[in-house]
Amino acid sequence: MSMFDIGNSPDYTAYLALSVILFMIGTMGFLLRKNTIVMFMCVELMLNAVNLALVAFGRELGHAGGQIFVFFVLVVAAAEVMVGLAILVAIYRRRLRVSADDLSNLSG
Amino acid sequence: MPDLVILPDQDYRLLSMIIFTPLAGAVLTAFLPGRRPELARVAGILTMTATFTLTLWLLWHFETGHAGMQWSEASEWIPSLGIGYNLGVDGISLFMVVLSGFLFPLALLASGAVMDRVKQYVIFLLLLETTVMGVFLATDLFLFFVFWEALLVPMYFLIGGWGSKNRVRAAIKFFVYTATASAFLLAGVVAAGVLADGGPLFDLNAVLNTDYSMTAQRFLFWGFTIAFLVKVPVFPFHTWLPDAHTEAPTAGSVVLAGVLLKMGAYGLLRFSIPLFPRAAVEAVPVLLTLAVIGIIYGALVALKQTDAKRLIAYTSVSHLGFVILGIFALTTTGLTGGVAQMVNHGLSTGALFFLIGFLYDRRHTREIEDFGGLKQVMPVYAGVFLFTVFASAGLPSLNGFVGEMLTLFGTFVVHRWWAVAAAFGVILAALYLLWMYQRVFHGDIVHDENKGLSDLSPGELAIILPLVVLMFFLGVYPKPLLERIEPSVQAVVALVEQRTEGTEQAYCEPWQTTGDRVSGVSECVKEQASKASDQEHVAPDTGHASSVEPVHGAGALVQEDGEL
Amino acid sequence: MDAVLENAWLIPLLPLMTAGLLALFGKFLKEPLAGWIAFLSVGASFLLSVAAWIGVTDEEHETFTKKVFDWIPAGGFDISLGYRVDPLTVVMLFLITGVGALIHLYAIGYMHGDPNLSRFFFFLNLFVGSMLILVMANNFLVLFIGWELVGACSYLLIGFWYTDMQKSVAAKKAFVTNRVGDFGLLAGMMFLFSYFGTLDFDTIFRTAPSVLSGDNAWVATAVALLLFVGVAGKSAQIPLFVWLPDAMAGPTPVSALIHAATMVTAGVYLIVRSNVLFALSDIASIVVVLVGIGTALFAALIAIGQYNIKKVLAYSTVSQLGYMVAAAGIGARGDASGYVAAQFHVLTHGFFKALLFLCAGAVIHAMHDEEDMRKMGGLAKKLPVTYATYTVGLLAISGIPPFAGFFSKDAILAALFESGEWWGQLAWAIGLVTAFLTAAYMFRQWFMVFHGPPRWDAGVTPHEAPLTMTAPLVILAAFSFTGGFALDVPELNSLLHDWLHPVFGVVGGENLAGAAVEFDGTVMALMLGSVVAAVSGVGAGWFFWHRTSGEDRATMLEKLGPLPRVVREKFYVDQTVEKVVQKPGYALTGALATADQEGIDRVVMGLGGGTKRVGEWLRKGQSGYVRAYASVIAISVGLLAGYAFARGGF
Repeated sequence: MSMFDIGNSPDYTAYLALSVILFMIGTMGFLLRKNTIVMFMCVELMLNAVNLALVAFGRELGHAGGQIFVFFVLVVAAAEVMVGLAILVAIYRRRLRVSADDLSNLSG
Repeated sequence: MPDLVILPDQDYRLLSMIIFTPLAGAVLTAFLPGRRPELARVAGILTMTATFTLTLWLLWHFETGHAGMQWSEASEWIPSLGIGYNLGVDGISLFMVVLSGFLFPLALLASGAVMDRVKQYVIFLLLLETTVMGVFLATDLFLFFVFWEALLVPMYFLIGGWGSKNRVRAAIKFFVYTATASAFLLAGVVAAGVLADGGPLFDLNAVLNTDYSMTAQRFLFWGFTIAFLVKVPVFPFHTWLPDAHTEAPTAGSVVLAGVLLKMGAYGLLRFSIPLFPRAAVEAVPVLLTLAVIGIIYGALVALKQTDAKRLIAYTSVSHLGFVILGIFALTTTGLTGGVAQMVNHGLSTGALFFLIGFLYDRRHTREIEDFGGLKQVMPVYAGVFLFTVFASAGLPSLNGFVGEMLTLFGTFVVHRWWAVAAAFGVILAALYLLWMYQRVFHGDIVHDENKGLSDLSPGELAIILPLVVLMFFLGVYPKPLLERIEPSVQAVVALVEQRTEGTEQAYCEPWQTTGDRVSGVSECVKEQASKASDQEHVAPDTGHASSVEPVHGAGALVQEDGEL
Repeated sequence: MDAVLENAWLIPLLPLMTAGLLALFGKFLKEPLAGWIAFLSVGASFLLSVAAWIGVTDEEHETFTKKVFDWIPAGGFDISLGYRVDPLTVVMLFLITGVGALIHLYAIGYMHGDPNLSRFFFFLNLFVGSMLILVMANNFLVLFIGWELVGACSYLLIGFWYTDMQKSVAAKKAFVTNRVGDFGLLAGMMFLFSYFGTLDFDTIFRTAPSVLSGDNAWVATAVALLLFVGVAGKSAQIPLFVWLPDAMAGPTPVSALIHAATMVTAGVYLIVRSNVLFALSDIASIVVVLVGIGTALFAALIAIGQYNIKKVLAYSTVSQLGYMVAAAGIGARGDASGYVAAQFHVLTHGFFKALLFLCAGAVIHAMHDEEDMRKMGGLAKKLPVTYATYTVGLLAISGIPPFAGFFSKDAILAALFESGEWWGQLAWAIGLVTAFLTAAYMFRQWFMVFHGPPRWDAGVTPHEAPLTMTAPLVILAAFSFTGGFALDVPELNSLLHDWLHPVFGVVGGENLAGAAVEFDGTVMALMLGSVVAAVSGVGAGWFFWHRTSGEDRATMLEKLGPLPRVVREKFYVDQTVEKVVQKPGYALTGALATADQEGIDRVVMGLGGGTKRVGEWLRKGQSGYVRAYASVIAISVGLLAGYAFARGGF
């Protein structure tokens, strides 16, 4: 019995399904919403969906790699939040709006 | 095979000193105050003179009659990839190095008209000299490539920073054109190093031991060769040259014509041919044809130019055609002539660019139309110019003749019709240069601005006279030049002979069988006729194998002078 | 006299070094000094030539060759700078240094007052030195040095008065036309080198008959014809003769020395020197003889129509060179007396044509640089010395016995006739006609310049030239009178035959020694024919240009109908060359220059531009909208995933 054994747990496909659903919600939100804050949250959602999948795979394969990788993702996500939110704040100060469609200055 | 006699290692690294003295000078110059340009000039001149002295030292201690590398240096650089810092000099590179050492100080001296950002100008010239020396002295493929590419940077800035009206455009064209071609060279260098026996290794001597497969040879040969052909430049890759020459400052043009163009031909001789001899032999007809087209075409297009510098740029295309012709004749005579022609072209075309530069400094125009009758006000200048024109047109007893004759005769014995077609260029050489001369110097002075022109100043004379003396000396007594070149090119020819088809070439230079032993001719003919049938690369024009006709001259020469 | 031959390299070196001195320090020399130095150096060369002659005689006509130093050693191509003194060389040495010295002397007077006098003598000395290299060469490449250098000197001297664009153009024309010929010589040398492995005269001439036999017989023809292209350039034969008349733009001493006496005979010298090669090919012989005699006739016709005093002499030179070339071409057919005749005429022509040119120079000098014969006339009394000496030259060139030209021209005609070949006899017939024409146009000139009423421009006061100019005239006149019978007369005197016969040993000239030509009926008839042709030519000249009354004389030509018009326009040769060569050539270079910019360069620039356009097109995809990028990513992922599923797994 490993420490990850949670007894009569559902099949790991259920976790994967949840992960896919979360990821799709995140994707759709990212694609469809204009507010950068919301888009940002959607990115977080996608990351967490992936985290969930990683944990599920790790559990199923009996390998700690999945869980460990999640920590990396969390750390990077935290750093990303810091930078990203700071940029957003800066943008808001300048434009008083945070709509993604206003930000096309870097077009080719 | 290169000569296997190893000269004892020298206890000081002369070649490194030659390469890095200018670099050290550049660093030093960078710390000089920019407000005092004369200091930068002095520092530049001193450094270049020191470098020239080192190259003279090299010339003095060069072992004549020795084919292999001398003054070799070898240090590890990136050992895991087999890349080393290997230097060496032989008869092929020796005079390129000396010529560079000779031209650079003169080029800086002739830059009196540069007033703007003098410090940077001097620094770029010094950096250029370092890279040029590196190109000629490197005996490691990778190191060679590094110098080859690095050279573009200072040259780009020299043209783009101190050139005339359309300089930026010309600089970009120069840079992009040659850098694009160098991409092929990079691919070739990497592939050659990786595919080498026991690779990856890039040391030239080690790579030379590899006999690449025919397919590999074809790809690699053309990879190397395209880069070199663009640099030479060979028709139809020549169009960057007129622009670069026209827009570059005088020093830039001189260095470009005198040294940089030779790098392409040097590369062919140092890398393309010895590393990939079978592909080279296979490519001979193509390259000879390009060379001949270049000779005629460059001359014809030169005729029509109205800009003096542009005209001379096209004559370079024509003259370097002779170099390529001599090199791909693959006979000792032709190769020696090709290398000699490289030196001679550097001297005479360098001198022409100096002279045009002097005129440009006075009148700020290069249009032939704007002159006329200058001989009246500038007799000494006109005399020197005519002398140089004659040297460039290959008048016997001046330097250009020696190289031209050797390439023509060296080519004729193996590829008759190409040589005859090339000889046609000799007529045109007289035509375009004399026509320009006539329009600039003869007749009456039609433009009032020209009436007050001053003749050559003592400083200008000091720049041009050494060139004049050398042009005359090398025309009358070229032996010191030729006897140093010959063993090394002979080694190249021998290598090609040895690697080609595995068959012995017919050792039938007819001259060995004429004389009193006329009976020998017929034997030689038979032997040759049988050989001719199984040689792929017999030139198409040697249809009449039944006559006494040299099929491939080099073998005999090697035999003849085997003791070298 | 071994020491002399050992040091014979001084013969060309003296003038060359003087030339160098004049080039460097000429500025500091006062006017006549430069001329005298130049004259003395050529004179010294002449004395050395005499010594060399004695040297060769002592060694019983042996050929002396000596290598001075290795010149171009590279691979199998090992050329040394060396020289050769043999009877043929000595003959040329005499001509060059002797006539050269006289013309230097003359030029001191003629060029008096020219601000660039020292430069003139620098070029002139350089020429003499180069010409001496040419005739003293011991191999083809050294000969080629001289060959090219004399061309360069000719360029420099024709364009000496460079402010006149016409003269400059003439100079360039001469050089470039010569280069066309040089191309042939160069190609011929390449052939020789590839079959003999050397360019050394000795080796080539000794082994040629065996090497170039059998399957290689065609090579002899090819080489001979290629060398002949060089000859045609230097010796102004059809079709490369166009430069020589224009070359008269140079100062008159130059015309006399370079374009009459010495340089233009270099081609004849080359054939005579390479007699072994020319003897091997009948085709070459036919071509050389017919082109030579054709040139002789053609140029003689043109000469009749010229009004410029120097142009007449120039075309006359072309015509006489045609004789020499024809004689050299018939060469060894029969015996080798064709070569001897050619060389004989080189000598006598050198004397009388230099004389005629110098006289013309004296006339031009006297007439204040007027060259149009229509504005002369009646000068006989004003210029007695010039008149007398000119008359000697006139009689010599017209072939009136016993003047020099008679003997040499008769030798040529005899050699042509007695060759026994059809082309020789055809050439003989044309040669007779040309002899008639020669006498006619020369007497025309004589009458127009020296006789009849004066037609001078106002203000012209003719005066006899100074002593430095007249002395050479008198000396040359003496040679023009004695040069024929002193050197060679059938039956009586075979000096030149004896002297030259070792040179032609290989080609069957062994029987030249002794009284070469028997004085039989044929010879007598031939001589008579020559005399009749010459005398009737004189008669024609007298009939058309002296019998008629004064004013008509100048315009006599127009009255003779359309043919003379063609003749006066030089058969439209220059115009044709311009149409056929220059204009298309210029158009071609223009087209190529355009093609270079608009074709090749445009491809290059197009490649760069194309890259740029592709980039511009691609950048349109970069809208800048984050969500658009994200959509592309999402869709791509979807597609990839779909593809993976369709394949049934990753």
